[in-house]
Amino acid sequence: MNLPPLNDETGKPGTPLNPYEVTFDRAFVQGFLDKTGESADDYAVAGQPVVPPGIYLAAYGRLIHESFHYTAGVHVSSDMKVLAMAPVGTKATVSGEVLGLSERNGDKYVTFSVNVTDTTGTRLAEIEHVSIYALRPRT
Amino acid sequence: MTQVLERDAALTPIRLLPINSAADSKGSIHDDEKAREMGYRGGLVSGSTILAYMSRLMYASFGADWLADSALSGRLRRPVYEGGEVTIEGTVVEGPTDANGRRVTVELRVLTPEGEVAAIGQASCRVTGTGSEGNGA
Repeated sequence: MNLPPLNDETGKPGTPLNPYEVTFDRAFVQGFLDKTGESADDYAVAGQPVVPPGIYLAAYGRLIHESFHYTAGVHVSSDMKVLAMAPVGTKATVSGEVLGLSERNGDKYVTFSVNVTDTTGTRLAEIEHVSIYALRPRT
Repeated sequence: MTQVLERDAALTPIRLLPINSAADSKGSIHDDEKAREMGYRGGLVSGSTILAYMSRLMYASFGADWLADSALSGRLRRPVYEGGEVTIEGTVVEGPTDANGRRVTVELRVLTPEGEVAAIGQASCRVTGTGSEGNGA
Protein backbone atom coordinates (compact mmCIF):
# COMPACT_ATOMS: atom_id res chain seq x y z
CA MET A 1 0.00 0.00 0.00
CA ASN A 2 1.52 3.30 -1.11
CA LEU A 3 0.38 5.80 1.48
CA PRO A 4 1.02 9.52 1.62
CA PRO A 5 3.10 11.03 4.41
CA LEU A 6 1.14 12.95 7.00
CA ASN A 7 1.74 16.68 6.71
CA ASP A 8 -0.08 19.99 6.43
CA GLU A 9 -0.99 19.29 2.82
CA THR A 10 -2.30 15.75 3.18
CA GLY A 11 -3.77 16.07 6.67
CA LYS A 12 -6.02 19.09 6.45
CA PRO A 13 -8.88 19.14 8.97
CA GLY A 14 -11.80 17.12 7.67
CA THR A 15 -9.63 14.73 5.66
CA PRO A 16 -11.34 11.33 5.94
CA LEU A 17 -9.31 8.35 7.10
CA ASN A 18 -9.59 5.09 5.15
CA PRO A 19 -12.34 3.10 6.90
CA TYR A 20 -12.03 -0.60 7.56
CA GLU A 21 -14.34 -3.37 8.62
CA VAL A 22 -13.72 -5.59 11.60
CA THR A 23 -15.50 -8.47 13.27
CA PHE A 24 -15.20 -8.47 17.03
CA ASP A 25 -15.27 -12.24 17.23
CA ARG A 26 -13.91 -14.23 20.15
CA ALA A 27 -10.42 -14.63 18.66
CA PHE A 28 -10.15 -10.89 17.98
CA VAL A 29 -11.38 -10.02 21.46
CA GLN A 30 -9.06 -12.50 23.14
CA GLY A 31 -6.13 -11.23 21.08
CA PHE A 32 -6.76 -7.80 22.51
CA LEU A 33 -7.36 -9.01 26.07
CA ASP A 34 -4.08 -10.92 26.05
CA LYS A 35 -2.47 -7.47 26.23
CA THR A 36 -4.44 -6.45 29.32
CA GLY A 37 -4.15 -9.76 31.12
CA GLU A 38 -7.83 -10.63 30.83
CA SER A 39 -9.95 -13.37 29.31
CA ALA A 40 -12.84 -13.02 26.89
CA ASP A 41 -14.76 -15.11 29.40
CA ASP A 42 -14.55 -12.19 31.85
CA TYR A 43 -16.78 -10.06 29.63
CA ALA A 44 -20.36 -11.33 29.63
CA VAL A 45 -23.74 -9.95 30.52
CA ALA A 46 -26.53 -12.40 31.33
CA GLY A 47 -24.43 -15.15 29.78
CA GLN A 48 -23.89 -13.23 26.53
CA PRO A 49 -20.22 -12.55 25.72
CA VAL A 50 -19.70 -8.85 25.04
CA VAL A 51 -16.98 -6.70 23.51
CA PRO A 52 -14.72 -4.99 26.08
CA PRO A 53 -14.78 -1.20 25.65
CA GLY A 54 -11.00 -0.99 25.87
CA ILE A 55 -10.79 -2.62 22.44
CA TYR A 56 -12.14 0.56 20.86
CA LEU A 57 -9.12 2.48 22.16
CA ALA A 58 -6.91 0.36 19.95
CA ALA A 59 -9.08 0.71 16.83
CA TYR A 60 -7.25 3.86 15.79
CA GLY A 61 -3.96 2.20 14.89
CA ARG A 62 -5.10 0.47 11.73
CA LEU A 63 -7.22 3.48 10.77
CA ILE A 64 -4.42 6.03 10.82
CA HIS A 65 -1.70 3.69 9.57
CA GLU A 66 -3.79 2.61 6.58
CA SER A 67 -4.34 6.28 5.72
CA PHE A 68 -0.89 7.82 6.17
CA HIS A 69 2.67 6.59 6.30
CA TYR A 70 4.60 7.35 9.43
CA THR A 71 6.51 5.02 11.67
CA ALA A 72 7.61 6.38 15.02
CA GLY A 73 4.25 7.63 16.27
CA VAL A 74 3.55 8.07 19.96
CA HIS A 75 0.07 7.90 21.46
CA VAL A 76 -0.59 10.98 23.60
CA SER A 77 -4.21 10.86 24.69
CA SER A 78 -7.65 9.46 23.99
CA ASP A 79 -11.14 10.60 24.86
CA MET A 80 -13.66 7.81 24.42
CA LYS A 81 -17.42 7.60 24.74
CA VAL A 82 -18.90 4.13 24.82
CA LEU A 83 -22.39 4.43 23.44
CA ALA A 84 -23.72 0.90 23.15
CA MET A 85 -22.88 -2.60 24.31
CA ALA A 86 -21.87 -4.97 21.51
CA PRO A 87 -22.10 -8.75 21.64
CA VAL A 88 -19.04 -10.74 20.65
CA GLY A 89 -19.35 -11.44 16.94
CA THR A 90 -20.44 -7.91 16.08
CA LYS A 91 -19.31 -6.67 12.68
CA ALA A 92 -18.36 -3.03 12.65
CA THR A 93 -16.90 -0.29 10.53
CA VAL A 94 -14.14 1.90 11.92
CA SER A 95 -14.00 5.34 10.34
CA GLY A 96 -12.78 8.79 11.21
CA GLU A 97 -11.20 11.99 10.02
CA VAL A 98 -8.32 14.32 10.73
CA LEU A 99 -9.35 17.06 13.14
CA GLY A 100 -6.11 18.99 13.08
CA LEU A 101 -2.31 19.08 13.07
CA SER A 102 -0.16 21.07 15.48
CA GLU A 103 3.43 21.37 16.67
CA ARG A 104 4.84 21.75 20.18
CA ASN A 105 8.49 21.69 21.24
CA GLY A 106 9.49 20.28 17.90
CA ASP A 107 7.08 17.34 18.05
CA LYS A 108 4.28 17.21 15.48
CA TYR A 109 0.83 16.20 16.65
CA VAL A 110 -2.24 14.89 14.88
CA THR A 111 -5.72 14.93 16.37
CA PHE A 112 -8.29 12.69 14.73
CA SER A 113 -11.67 11.16 15.36
CA VAL A 114 -12.55 7.47 15.36
CA ASN A 115 -16.09 6.15 15.05
CA VAL A 116 -17.02 2.51 15.55
CA THR A 117 -20.41 1.67 14.04
CA ASP A 118 -22.09 -1.73 13.71
CA THR A 119 -23.83 -2.97 10.57
CA THR A 120 -27.22 -1.68 11.73
CA GLY A 121 -25.80 1.82 11.97
CA THR A 122 -25.65 1.84 15.75
CA ARG A 123 -22.72 3.92 16.95
CA LEU A 124 -20.78 1.78 19.44
CA ALA A 125 -18.05 4.23 20.37
CA GLU A 126 -16.61 7.63 19.52
CA ILE A 127 -12.98 8.39 20.27
CA GLU A 128 -10.80 11.42 19.79
CA HIS A 129 -7.10 10.60 19.65
CA VAL A 130 -3.99 12.71 19.81
CA SER A 131 -0.71 11.21 18.62
CA ILE A 132 2.74 12.51 17.83
CA TYR A 133 3.41 11.60 14.21
CA ALA A 134 6.89 13.11 13.95
CA LEU A 135 9.13 13.13 17.01
CA ARG A 136 11.98 15.53 17.47
CA PRO A 137 15.16 13.55 18.17
CA ARG A 138 15.64 12.73 21.88
CA THR A 139 19.19 12.98 23.18
CA MET B 1 -16.21 -6.91 44.75
CA THR B 2 -18.47 -4.17 46.04
CA GLN B 3 -17.13 -0.69 45.62
CA VAL B 4 -17.90 2.26 47.86
CA LEU B 5 -19.03 5.07 45.62
CA GLU B 6 -18.55 8.05 47.91
CA ARG B 7 -16.16 10.85 47.02
CA ASP B 8 -12.49 9.99 47.75
CA ALA B 9 -13.22 6.27 47.96
CA ALA B 10 -10.42 4.23 46.42
CA LEU B 11 -11.16 1.46 43.94
CA THR B 12 -9.40 -1.83 44.53
CA PRO B 13 -6.18 -1.40 42.52
CA ILE B 14 -4.93 -3.78 39.85
CA ARG B 15 -1.29 -4.76 39.41
CA LEU B 16 -0.03 -6.37 36.25
CA LEU B 17 3.03 -6.94 34.09
CA PRO B 18 2.81 -5.02 30.82
CA ILE B 19 3.53 -6.81 27.57
CA ASN B 20 4.98 -4.98 24.58
CA SER B 21 2.88 -6.80 22.01
CA ALA B 22 4.12 -4.56 19.18
CA ALA B 23 7.83 -5.15 19.85
CA ASP B 24 8.31 -6.72 16.42
CA SER B 25 6.90 -3.67 14.65
CA LYS B 26 10.23 -2.62 13.12
CA GLY B 27 10.90 1.09 12.95
CA SER B 28 8.10 1.90 15.39
CA ILE B 29 8.43 3.34 18.87
CA HIS B 30 7.64 -0.17 20.18
CA ASP B 31 10.78 -1.57 18.56
CA ASP B 32 13.70 -1.61 21.02
CA GLU B 33 16.24 -0.46 18.46
CA LYS B 34 14.15 2.45 17.16
CA ALA B 35 13.05 3.49 20.66
CA ARG B 36 16.67 3.58 21.90
CA GLU B 37 17.58 5.62 18.85
CA MET B 38 14.87 8.07 19.94
CA GLY B 39 16.32 8.28 23.46
CA TYR B 40 14.06 5.84 25.26
CA ARG B 41 15.21 2.93 27.43
CA GLY B 42 13.58 0.41 25.13
CA GLY B 43 10.42 -0.26 23.17
CA LEU B 44 7.34 1.40 24.60
CA VAL B 45 4.26 -0.58 25.53
CA SER B 46 1.40 0.64 23.34
CA GLY B 47 -0.40 3.66 24.73
CA SER B 48 -3.78 2.21 23.88
CA THR B 49 -2.91 -0.81 26.00
CA ILE B 50 -2.00 1.42 28.94
CA LEU B 51 -5.32 3.26 28.63
CA ALA B 52 -7.12 -0.06 28.29
CA TYR B 53 -5.76 -0.97 31.73
CA MET B 54 -7.93 1.87 33.01
CA SER B 55 -10.92 0.35 31.24
CA ARG B 56 -10.07 -2.95 32.91
CA LEU B 57 -10.16 -1.30 36.34
CA MET B 58 -13.51 0.32 35.57
CA TYR B 59 -14.97 -3.02 34.49
CA ALA B 60 -13.55 -4.77 37.53
CA SER B 61 -15.16 -2.08 39.69
CA PHE B 62 -18.48 -1.43 37.99
CA GLY B 63 -19.17 -4.53 35.92
CA ALA B 64 -21.83 -4.26 33.22
CA ASP B 65 -22.44 -0.60 34.05
CA TRP B 66 -19.08 0.11 32.41
CA LEU B 67 -19.99 -1.54 29.12
CA ALA B 68 -22.35 1.15 27.78
CA ASP B 69 -23.09 4.81 28.38
CA SER B 70 -19.61 5.31 29.75
CA ALA B 71 -16.66 7.56 29.02
CA LEU B 72 -12.89 7.52 29.50
CA SER B 73 -10.35 10.27 28.94
CA GLY B 74 -6.73 9.24 29.31
CA ARG B 75 -3.41 11.07 28.98
CA LEU B 76 -0.09 9.27 28.66
CA ARG B 77 2.67 10.93 30.66
CA ARG B 78 5.65 8.58 30.78
CA PRO B 79 6.82 5.54 28.83
CA VAL B 80 5.88 2.12 30.13
CA TYR B 81 8.27 -0.72 29.41
CA GLU B 82 7.67 -4.42 29.36
CA GLY B 83 8.52 -6.39 32.47
CA GLY B 84 8.04 -3.94 35.34
CA GLU B 85 4.82 -4.29 37.31
CA VAL B 86 2.43 -1.36 36.92
CA THR B 87 -0.38 -0.40 39.25
CA ILE B 88 -3.73 0.95 38.13
CA GLU B 89 -5.51 3.02 40.75
CA GLY B 90 -8.80 4.87 40.85
CA THR B 91 -10.42 7.32 43.23
CA VAL B 92 -14.06 8.34 43.15
CA VAL B 93 -14.36 12.08 42.60
CA GLU B 94 -18.13 12.20 42.24
CA GLY B 95 -20.61 9.63 43.43
CA PRO B 96 -23.89 8.87 41.71
CA THR B 97 -26.79 11.15 42.56
CA ASP B 98 -30.18 11.77 41.08
CA ALA B 99 -28.91 15.20 40.06
CA ASN B 100 -26.03 13.79 37.96
CA GLY B 101 -28.06 11.00 36.38
CA ARG B 102 -26.65 8.32 38.71
CA ARG B 103 -23.18 8.65 37.23
CA VAL B 104 -19.99 7.90 39.08
CA THR B 105 -16.80 9.71 38.07
CA VAL B 106 -13.38 8.27 38.86
CA GLU B 107 -9.88 9.69 38.56
CA LEU B 108 -7.46 7.08 37.29
CA ARG B 109 -3.70 6.63 37.42
CA VAL B 110 -1.27 4.12 36.02
CA LEU B 111 1.93 3.99 38.07
CA THR B 112 5.30 2.66 36.96
CA PRO B 113 7.24 0.21 39.16
CA GLU B 114 9.09 3.29 40.48
CA GLY B 115 5.79 4.88 41.52
CA GLU B 116 5.86 7.53 38.81
CA VAL B 117 2.62 8.44 37.07
CA ALA B 118 2.69 6.92 33.59
CA ALA B 119 -0.87 7.88 32.69
CA ILE B 120 -3.75 9.80 34.16
CA GLY B 121 -7.39 9.69 33.28
CA GLN B 122 -10.95 10.23 34.24
CA ALA B 123 -13.81 7.85 33.59
CA SER B 124 -17.50 7.83 34.28
CA CYS B 125 -20.46 5.53 33.91
CA ARG B 126 -24.06 5.37 34.97
CA VAL B 127 -24.49 2.99 37.86
CA THR B 128 -27.58 0.96 38.48
CA GLY B 129 -27.15 0.75 42.24
CA THR B 130 -25.06 2.13 45.06
CA GLY B 131 -22.61 -0.77 44.87
CA SER B 132 -22.08 -2.41 41.53
CA GLU B 133 -20.61 -5.86 41.11
CA GLY B 134 -17.47 -5.98 39.02
CA ASN B 135 -15.79 -9.08 37.73
CA GLY B 136 -13.18 -8.90 40.41
CA ALA B 137 -10.31 -8.98 37.90
